[in-house]
Amino acid sequence: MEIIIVLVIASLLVALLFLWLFIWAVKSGQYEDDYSPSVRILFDNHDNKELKSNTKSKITDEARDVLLRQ
Amino acid sequence: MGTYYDINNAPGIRKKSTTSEYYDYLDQDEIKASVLDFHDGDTCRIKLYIPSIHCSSCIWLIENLQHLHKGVITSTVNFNKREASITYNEAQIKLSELMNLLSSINYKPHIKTEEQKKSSKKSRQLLVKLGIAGFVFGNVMLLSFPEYLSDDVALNPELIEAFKWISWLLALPVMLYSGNDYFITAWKNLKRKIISIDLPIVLGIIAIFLRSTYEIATSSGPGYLDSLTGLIFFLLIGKWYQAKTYEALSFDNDYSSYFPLGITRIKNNEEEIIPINQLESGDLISVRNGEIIPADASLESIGASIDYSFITGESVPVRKQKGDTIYAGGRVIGSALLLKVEKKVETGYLAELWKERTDKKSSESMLSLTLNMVSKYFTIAILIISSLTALYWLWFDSSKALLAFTSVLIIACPCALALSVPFAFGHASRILGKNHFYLKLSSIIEGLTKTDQVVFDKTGTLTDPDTFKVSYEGEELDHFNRSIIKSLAHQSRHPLSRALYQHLSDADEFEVLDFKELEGAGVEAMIMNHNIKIGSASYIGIESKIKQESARVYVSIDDKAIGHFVITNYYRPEWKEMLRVVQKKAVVHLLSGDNDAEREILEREIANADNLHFYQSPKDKQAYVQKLKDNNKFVTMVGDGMNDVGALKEAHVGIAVADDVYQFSPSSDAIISAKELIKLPVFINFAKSALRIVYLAIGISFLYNVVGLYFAVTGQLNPLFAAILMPLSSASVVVFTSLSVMWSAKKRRLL
Repeated sequence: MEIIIVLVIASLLVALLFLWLFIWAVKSGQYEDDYSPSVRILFDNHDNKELKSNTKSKITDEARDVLLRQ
Repeated sequence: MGTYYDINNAPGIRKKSTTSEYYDYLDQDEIKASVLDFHDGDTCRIKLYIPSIHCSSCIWLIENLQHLHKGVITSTVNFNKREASITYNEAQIKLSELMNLLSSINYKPHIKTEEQKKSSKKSRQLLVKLGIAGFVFGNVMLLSFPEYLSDDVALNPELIEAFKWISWLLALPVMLYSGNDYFITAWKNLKRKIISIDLPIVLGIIAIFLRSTYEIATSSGPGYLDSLTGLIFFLLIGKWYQAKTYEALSFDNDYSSYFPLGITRIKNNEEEIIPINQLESGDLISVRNGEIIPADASLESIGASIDYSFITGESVPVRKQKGDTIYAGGRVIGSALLLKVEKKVETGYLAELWKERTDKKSSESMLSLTLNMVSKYFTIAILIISSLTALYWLWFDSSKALLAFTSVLIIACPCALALSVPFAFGHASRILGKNHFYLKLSSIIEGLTKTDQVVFDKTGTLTDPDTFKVSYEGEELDHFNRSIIKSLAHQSRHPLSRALYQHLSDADEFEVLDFKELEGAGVEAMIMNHNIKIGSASYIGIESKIKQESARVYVSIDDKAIGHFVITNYYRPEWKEMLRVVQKKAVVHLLSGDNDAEREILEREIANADNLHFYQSPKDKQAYVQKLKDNNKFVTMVGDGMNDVGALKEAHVGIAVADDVYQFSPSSDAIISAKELIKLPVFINFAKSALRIVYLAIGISFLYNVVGLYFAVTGQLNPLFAAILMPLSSASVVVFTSLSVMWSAKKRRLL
């Protein structure tokens, strides 16, 4: 039965690992903005390589002029 | 570019005629250093507050700034804070150019104020505390599990012993770190001779911990560590729930957040830009159109139009002559002005106004007045009961005395009581926030319920500052004359001209020749071979019998005066209805910085004409509120501009009205969107029912306490019973308050 004490300590260590992960997530600001990351994942042009092939989501020169003229 | 429209159905925002801003002062090294987050060689990073971020397409556009200008390296948006963190290459784009770039795509950036910079740290800490408490609570519950089993399935006693010590070690960080706020506030309040809800909580926590330690150390019992960690966990949840803040709103602006950071000073005929705090009296400064005058100064230019709506609430610009004193806070309209600084920024009129109220809300740290009243008697009662119990048992059975004494403190620990207010008010303030009425602290709900006097500001609060009602008196105007007046009005930036231009929207427009504008007086031009002048009475050469002429625009064609336009404020829709409903419950006062031209209209709406005051300076308004307070009235002030700052701070509850809540508004306890002002009476009623719900919740938690106390006083409290009763009482209070607040909101159609 004494093996239980080892099991308890092992499970506590695993739980502590998750607690540490949670604290790390809070400290690195992941709970500060719960909206933009959910939207950002839908933007498909963060990668510059992709930009060249995907002209649809690039700000074209023409569009830039229109935008800046406003 | 197509993506912009793919992401959100209606991404565009209303384009507003914003006054132009100048950012060139930001290129000064000294100022730049103070606003940049990070600076290494050419790479700079800055966090900008951009209130107009409002949808997913905004995030997309701002995060793609590098395609608009190659000097931008990356930009990341924090939507909740309406904040963009932009890294850029200084060699390719200067800070001022970056600001202009953002302005040009209608995301006007603001440099973050000090207050905004230091937020959020606290909420992170609370989350960490909550996480630790939750982690420990779960584990201690599991480790206590063997205790609750009956003897025939019980574990080896040595194992149970080991479990207890593990629990004890786990509970330490909860006591010392997660719960430390309660110890600190209880101690602070005690030093100020205030008994708050924190005191019985702290007594309970200490009693549980010491008793558990004693029981574990002497192997005399299992201890109450599961109850202890659970208690702190629940309390922190309540705190976290109540701590919902509107990070994107700022409630504590002071005058400096309205001022530019840098000023153009003229020295030895050369313009230089200096930080605002280096401004000395005697300096010559140049202030351009749309900029705010940073210090009390005298005018060196010939004439000027100053928009004082910021300070006085007066909607119409004031004309100033050379040599006149111009107070800080006025906005320049028209061409750039040369000013001579008379007082330094910190000693100006505006700064004084702000400083007058300093020590007001010392009680702000407290959760709620009601709760403090209740907990004061509660604490005293608990102390008396526990001492009587101890004395009784000392007399009859001294072995039970310590047990019974600590049991009373443990079971009386007002966890449910402490949760009633955070959940009821926290929930209510979320619902109010959804209705565009944002509270700085949820305890302001309680202030709202006590209100018996409501003081309204007129200009900008009851009236819409951007709209005017125009009427005409004098010779009849035909279409041709209307058209030439419109053509001339279109040329001027003066608000009255703009109002005229809007009023004459059906007329045509002609070519304008020889346009001349005399600052602060009027404009003239040649249109279709007629010389036309519009402006003040003296400008077109007639004598005016009316004292207050600033809201009148006189017209002359070919040097013949033909009449004048009267421009009056436009009241917000349904304002009469709102005043009528408010007056059922409270006395309404109305203060106006304006002239009394509208006295008659207003007298019809206000029950007591004595409560109507005109020509009120910001200090008059503050004094008025102060006087009401001295008569033991509970005052809510509703105002909009800088002119109301004194009164807003003085009042028990200060509500700032804002057309755009994300723009800067004066410091206040709450911000209400102008469109929702009509609902103010509903909000007050809702606050009242939230308070009633708190009373009921307090009643429920007392019931639990009475039951628990019976067992504690008779010395029969066992850990299992405590472990069930305490979470049960907390949970039922939380469920009850949340559901009933929701129901109450539904009934009033706020949800």
